[in-house]
Amino acid sequence: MKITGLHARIEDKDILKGVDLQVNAGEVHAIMGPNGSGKSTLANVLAGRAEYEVTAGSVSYLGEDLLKLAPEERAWKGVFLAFQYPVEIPGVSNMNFLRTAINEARIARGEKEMGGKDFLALVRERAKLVEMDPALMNRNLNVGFSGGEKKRNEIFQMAMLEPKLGILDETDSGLDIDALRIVAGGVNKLRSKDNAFIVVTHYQRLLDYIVPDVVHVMAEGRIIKSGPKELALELEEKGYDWVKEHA
Amino acid sequence: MESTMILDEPKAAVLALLEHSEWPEAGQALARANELPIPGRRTEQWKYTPVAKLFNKSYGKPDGQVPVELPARLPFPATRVVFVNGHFRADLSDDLKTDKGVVIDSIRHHLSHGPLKANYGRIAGIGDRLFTAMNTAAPTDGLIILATKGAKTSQPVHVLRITTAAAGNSPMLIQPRDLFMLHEGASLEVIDEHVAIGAASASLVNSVRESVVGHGAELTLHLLQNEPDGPADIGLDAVQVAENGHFSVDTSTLHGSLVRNDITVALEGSGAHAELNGVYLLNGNAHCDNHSYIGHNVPDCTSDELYKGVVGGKATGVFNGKVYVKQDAQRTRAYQRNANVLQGDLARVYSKPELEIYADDVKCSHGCTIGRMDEQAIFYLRSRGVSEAEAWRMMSHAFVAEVLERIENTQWKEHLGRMMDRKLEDL
Repeated sequence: MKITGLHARIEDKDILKGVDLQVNAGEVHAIMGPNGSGKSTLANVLAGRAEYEVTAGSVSYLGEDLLKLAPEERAWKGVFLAFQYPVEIPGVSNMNFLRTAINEARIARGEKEMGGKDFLALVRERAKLVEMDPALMNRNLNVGFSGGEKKRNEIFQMAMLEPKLGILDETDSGLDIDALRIVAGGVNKLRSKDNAFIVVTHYQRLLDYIVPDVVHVMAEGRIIKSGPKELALELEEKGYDWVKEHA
Repeated sequence: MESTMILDEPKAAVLALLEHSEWPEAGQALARANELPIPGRRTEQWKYTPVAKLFNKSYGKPDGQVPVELPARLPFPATRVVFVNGHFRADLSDDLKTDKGVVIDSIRHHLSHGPLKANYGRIAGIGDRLFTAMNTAAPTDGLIILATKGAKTSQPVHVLRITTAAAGNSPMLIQPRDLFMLHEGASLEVIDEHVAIGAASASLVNSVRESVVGHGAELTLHLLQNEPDGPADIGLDAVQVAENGHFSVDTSTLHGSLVRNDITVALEGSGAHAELNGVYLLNGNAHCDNHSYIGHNVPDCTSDELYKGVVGGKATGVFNGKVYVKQDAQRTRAYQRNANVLQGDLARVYSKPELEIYADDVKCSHGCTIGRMDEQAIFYLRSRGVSEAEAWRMMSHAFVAEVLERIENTQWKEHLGRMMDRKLEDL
């Protein structure tokens, strides 16, 4: 995926002011930055959230113009956003929804729908990745889930949908250290040479568990510095102001 | 001459059809129908449901003997009773003499019987409701169900009411009139389904049903209005519930050109309970008006109402729920909620809760919401690969599922759920 000169705004507020980023298969990129720097906006723009208006720039994904695709089309082509605040949806069961999502993607790709048996087998296997309580599977989507359970459910869904590009929007926020380890472990098991991840985070902590290939620092709607994984440690020590001064 | 008459008195042509009826109290009812005005925009109870246009037509008498192809049976056992254009059709109905202590029959056969005389016209008094006066003046036919002390039906009674006409036939005025009587400890479950076949859209179905729920008895009604291109469907359910009696109704409107459901419940003995649930899924030019009145007339009664609707196209949904708590009806518990989702810019919903409370030790609540589908939730589903249309259907289903969950009969609940999903495909 290649992002070039991306500008975006919500209502009348400009948030992204020229983001350039290239992510190749097999790579994990971390995006760090202070609150309001545009990290979450970037994640949501890539997933196709309609509230954000792209005013300039382009995103090419597997040779296609990503910005022209509807959110579900992006999902069918392998884009997945793990939400910072997963939405509770009463009346929609976790399982039904996932099965619909998987099969719509399969139909869109011209593949055969997944039968009930295969689906259940896959659920059992992938639930183990994030040590998810099977009782949560039949519950309504995220309803009554604790913060940690919601985040695990995000990674579980990601494991089920097997994306090519997984975007984690502050998945670590609100997680205790055990939950963080489980969630990170799930992501690590999904890593392969054929997929890529963008990990948006405020703290270096998550990157102890999900070790990135590249760390980017965002500030005021731009990526102001990129570097190897050690950059995250340096940031933790010296703070964002240090980067801003030296950018 | 006739056209002048219609100008002078717009009801005249319609009321002329109701003359010379031999039903109980028909004469007085017709006289009352002549006096009562057609409800209009200034009549509070009919403000959002325009009915004047129903009186601009020349109706004919309904023919019950027309050939009709029956729809598929329900996917679970039920005793089917068929009415065609308001007329009872024994030839199309199941054997109705199945359960001991339960009489299920055409009401026409019982007009001179004591139990009917004791209750007929007493639960649904005419008051100032023109449609009740018209119905009482000349019912077409109807269903009587009498359940004696402790009697139960072994399976639900499925009343199938078909309105059907060939193209070019004149519109019909059909007036079903039912009476359900449940004696002490009796229990009855009735599915009342309205369907339309052929050119029935100009007709008017004006129903009245009276139900008496005795001491500790239990009446469950499932009303289904599934009438694409159907007639105007105006109905009144008047229910009286005695001590520890239990009345519950779910009304599902999937299609309807002009639907008005009046439900009037009088809780007359302590421990009586009423539960009213409704779902309306409207599109096109559909119009559905759910009007309820629950009278808490004695202490220690409970009532619970939940109506939910998804309204799209140029459709209109109306909800009016009145709860009346009499001065000495202490320890009343009455809950009411109406929630609506609007789709598009042309759909309309009017919602009006009304609480009138004269007792001081009561717990009553009401709430109404009109909004749009949760955009965040839709985006969440889409971001996982659920198409926009499917996400919307999932959300709509989820929205009304809360009402379905209250239905105890799981077979009916599932059947209804499937029908609603099909309807949501078109919405």
